[in-house]
Order: sequence, then C-alpha cells, then structure tokens
Amino acid sequence: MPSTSPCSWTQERIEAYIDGELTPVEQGRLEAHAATCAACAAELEDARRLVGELRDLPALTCPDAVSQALQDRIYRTRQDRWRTAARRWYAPLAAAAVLALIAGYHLFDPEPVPPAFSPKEVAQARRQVEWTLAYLSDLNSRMGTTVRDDVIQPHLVQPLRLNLDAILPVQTM
Amino acid sequence: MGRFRRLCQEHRDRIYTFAFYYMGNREDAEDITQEVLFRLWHHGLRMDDEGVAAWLTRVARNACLDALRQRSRYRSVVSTQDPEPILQRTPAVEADDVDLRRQLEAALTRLESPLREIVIMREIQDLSYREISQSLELPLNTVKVYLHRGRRRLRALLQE
Repeated sequence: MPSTSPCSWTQERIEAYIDGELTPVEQGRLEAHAATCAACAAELEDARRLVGELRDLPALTCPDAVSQALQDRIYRTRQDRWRTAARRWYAPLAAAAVLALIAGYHLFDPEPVPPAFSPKEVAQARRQVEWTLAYLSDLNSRMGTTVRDDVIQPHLVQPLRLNLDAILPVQTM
Repeated sequence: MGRFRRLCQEHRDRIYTFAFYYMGNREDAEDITQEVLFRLWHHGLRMDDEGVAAWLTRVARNACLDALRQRSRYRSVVSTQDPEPILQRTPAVEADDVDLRRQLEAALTRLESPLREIVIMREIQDLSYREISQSLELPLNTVKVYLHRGRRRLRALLQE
C-alpha cells in the first residue's frame, strides 16, 4: 500500500487527471477523494481553470511589418553576398582576363610560321649545296690556292650535310 | 522564392504566437519571427516540408533563449524598465479578463525553460505531445512530466 496521504496522492495526479491520463481506477479514487476534501477539490478547480484560461489565450497574427522587414533583410543579404563574392573573385578574375587577352593576342595574331619544306625542296637544296661545294673545289684547284679538301670536307661539307640530314627525316615522314 | 513564401505564410503566425507568449511583448516577438524566417531562408530550405514545422519551433525556441540571454546581459548594465503591457486593451475585453490575462502572460514569462515552451506549445498552440517531443528533441514522457510540472508552477506563480 502507498504510504502517501490521500491529499498528496491526489495533488500529484491532478494534472494527469485533467488530461485524462489516469486509469479508471485512479480516476475514481481521485474523484472520491475530491468529493470529501475541500482543499483538494479547490486545487482541482484551480488547475482546471488555469488550463481553461491558457487554452483561451488567442493565437496571434504576425504583423505585415515583419514580412516587409524580412524581405528587406533578404535583399540586403543578397547584395552583401554579391559584393563579397565580387571582392573575392575580382583579383583572380582580373588576372584571368589579362591572361586571356595575352593568350588571345597570340592565338589570333600569331608570329608567322614558315611553311614546311617539301622533300623535293630539301633535295634540291642539297644538290645546290653540293654543286656549290664542287664548284668551289674546282675553282680552288684551278686557281692553285692552298685550301685543301681535307679542310673543306670536315669543316664545311660535313656540318652542312649533318644539318640537312637532321631536317630530311622530319620532312619526309 | 515560391516555396519560401509559402512556408512563411504557413508558419509565421505560429512562430509569432509562440515568441509573443514566450517573450511577453510584441517587439521581441516581431524580431524573433523575422530572425526565424530569415534562418529558414538561409539554412532551412534544404529540408522537406514535414520537417520544417519542428525545425522552426526549435529555432524559435533557441532564438527566444538567445534574446533572453542578451536581455539579461543588457539589463545587467542598463537600468531595468517596467515590462510593457502584453495584451492590448480593447472595448470588447472586460477589464477583469484583461487583468487576468496579463497576470497569466506575465506568469508564463517567469516559467523556466523548457516548462515555458512546453506549456505554450501544448496549451496555447494545441500541438500534440509527439510534435512537442520532436520539436524540442525530448522523450514523449518527459514532455508530459514537464507539462504537468509547468502548470503546477504556473498556479504557484499566480498565487504569489
């Protein structure tokens, strides 16, 4: 058996009684006690009245000024965000724009690139060089000069030939 | 903006009512409603509509607590003023009723958290225990216990 007094037991359960949360047995016990105890009956009445008064408090309508102030605030926030983003991206965007201008200048107004040699042109150039060297050699011997073949070959003919050989495979592929 | 506007229209009166009874004056209620709806715009539009109501209540409650903290800091350095009348006097409302409601509203603002928000949400806004439980992230039985405790405390405050 519970050791609490009937008044304590009742007062601990008044709120649950008002909300209909007691079992039928508990409900009967509380009502029976309240019928014989003026203090608990008054307490129960106070509790009921308070709940009634609370539930009578009106739901309110939000003033239109709140919506207007909210719209203004959102507008200002968007402006601030835009300005912040503009500041954050201004320097990189400016740098990117300068780079784009430079790249565009080179892309659309490039240095003239010499046309590629054809194998035929290279072969003709080789023949002209060899003819020139042969002519120089012949002239050298007819004039009796002392420039020797073993000087002309390694120092003039071979470097020219090497250069031509370097060009030829690229052009002929 | 369409969804945001719709959500504002659906929830602003409820937020305003909650803030008004929590703070006890219209000016704070307006500021808090604006703050809560701004946070909805700023953060909350990613959630689905079902979660919005509980989220808004939670944000409103936190905004009220923040405002009270700021107010207590402000009042610690500035002289306190008498609280402004909560209920507007209208001819249709009897003087006794006005007095009673003022007393009740003043007593509400003296309830501790979370008793205050639970009494407001349950008794004035008629939210279910489940909705309160979700909004405040409290177990359902705890909400019931706090509600009963809050009403008992209110009765005591009104009898002082």
